[in-house]
Amino acid sequence: MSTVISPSHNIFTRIKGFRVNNFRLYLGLFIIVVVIAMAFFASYLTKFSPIQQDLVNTLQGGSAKHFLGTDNLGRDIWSRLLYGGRTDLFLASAAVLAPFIIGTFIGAICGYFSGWIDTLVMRIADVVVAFPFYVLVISLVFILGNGVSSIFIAISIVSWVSYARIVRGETMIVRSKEFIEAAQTGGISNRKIITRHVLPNVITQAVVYAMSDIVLNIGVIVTLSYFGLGIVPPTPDWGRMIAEGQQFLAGGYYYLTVLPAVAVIISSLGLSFIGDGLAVVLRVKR
Amino acid sequence: MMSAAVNILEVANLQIVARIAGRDYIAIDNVSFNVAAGHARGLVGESGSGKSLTLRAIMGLLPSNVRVTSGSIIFRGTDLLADKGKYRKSVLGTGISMVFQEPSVALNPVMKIGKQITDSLVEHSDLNRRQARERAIDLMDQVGIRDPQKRVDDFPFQLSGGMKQRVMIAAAIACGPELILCDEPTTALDVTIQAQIIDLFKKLRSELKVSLLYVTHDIGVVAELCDAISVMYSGRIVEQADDINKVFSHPKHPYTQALLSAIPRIDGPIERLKGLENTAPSLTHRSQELAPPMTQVEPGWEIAPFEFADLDQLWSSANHD
Repeated sequence: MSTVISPSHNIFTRIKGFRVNNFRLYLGLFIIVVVIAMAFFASYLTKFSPIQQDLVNTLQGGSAKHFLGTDNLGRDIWSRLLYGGRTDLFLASAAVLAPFIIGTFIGAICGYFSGWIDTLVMRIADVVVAFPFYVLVISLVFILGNGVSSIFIAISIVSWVSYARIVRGETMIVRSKEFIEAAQTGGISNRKIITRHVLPNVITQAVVYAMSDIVLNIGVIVTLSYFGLGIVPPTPDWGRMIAEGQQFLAGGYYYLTVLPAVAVIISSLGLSFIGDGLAVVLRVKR
Repeated sequence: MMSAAVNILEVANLQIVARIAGRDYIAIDNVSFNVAAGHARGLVGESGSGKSLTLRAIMGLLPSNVRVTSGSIIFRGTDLLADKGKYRKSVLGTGISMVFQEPSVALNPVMKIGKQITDSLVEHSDLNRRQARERAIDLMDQVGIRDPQKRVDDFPFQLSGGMKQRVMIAAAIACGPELILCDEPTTALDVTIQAQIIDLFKKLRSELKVSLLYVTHDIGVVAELCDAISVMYSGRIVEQADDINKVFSHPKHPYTQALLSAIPRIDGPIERLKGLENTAPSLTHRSQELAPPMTQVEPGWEIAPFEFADLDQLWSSANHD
């Protein structure tokens, strides 16, 4: 057991061991705050509608009027990027929430009680994982039909497994710790032991994973709409922008594809930095 | 002296079997002892003698490959081993509580110590958050933690080992139990802190009239704290008495004699310390014969037959390197 002695005079170190010099966390937070703010205040940052076509001015380069130019239908790329971010980031984050809660809950129960319920749930998880991720998600979206809610459901059905497995493994480690026995000798109910003693000790890994899971979800959503599944036009979204811009690559209009791709990369980087930073901040001290 | 006292805990003919690599081994056999109300019994023995296993059997914390095969553990007149542990569940915390050996792992690293102290209390009462906090501060004061108002919101990593053990003890007494099981609570602490914790136990005994079952390999601690003693060897009790002084002044069983002579004395003659040459055989190498019945030296003092403990093995070091 390594003992971390934190200087008690520093207010930050007294709040759950907050580390002030966590560069990656702050860089990630900065990127994501900026990206989210841009998506949120999209209507203030552009005067063009993302779906308003202007067939006279198609495929224009950057200009004073259209900051990043226009696409093949004359839509302003800058506003499509902003509103597309709104769609993608919101959906990606929302699609993390349900699997996070369900998976964590199931994982904690399986890890804590083990026995037949653990075996049953983990075999179901094996079945879900046995299918390649994209094949399963694409078929689910195909079955459920296009639309935001079917993406949401498809991702939830598949990705709770990761949370369940992570939390189950961590729970099995924590479960053998003496403080769980100590709680049992205090006559505390299993429900309270799980919620008050197990979960706070295992949630870190799930939270860190959730950050990279949002990244993964952005990838899924972008990929699905690239294939023409999920988000229905004319809703602006980065995947569709990449797919549509592709046909004009040969004509030299690379920015139609590259700009939304850069948006995906920047958001993913920011979230990954947050994930790494959180892993450091939330590390359990003994 | 203690015949009048009511027994709060009566362990009778306890046998515990461990399944290792597909075979059953008798880990504990024919273990019987009482803890009288308001009294403290020390359960001493080497590592692996089964003393901790006995405690765990009482608390229902046996590992999955270990089970109680016979015997009874009567607490306040009812068998803890009956009714699938329902009765036990109802007395855990409120009737019996436990202090663990390693306070650094027996406390939840991400929970404030104040909350951990009253965790069990909140479970068994309808205290609200503010009342529980007040109670935690009182308890911390009672176990000798300075500045409890400031300390109550600390996390375990901010406390020293001795302080953590005080927190454990505060949690153990929170619900006002009649019996506290102590699993070597001073072993992980350094000597000066050990003395403080033992003083704390003494103080709590006289203030709260709580009974103790104190497991340790440190016979000196037992001498200071306990009224009664049971000496365990290789999963059996070899000697026990309700009056600890009898065993200390005239140990009857050779193993007890050996154990006592292994304590260095500051006022004794200067000579080579007689140690125990060999430790008890490990569980899988042990004789699987059932423990022989104990014989009474006098009422409240009994010993196992000498041949039980493998004394030849214990004393001879000639053909052993």
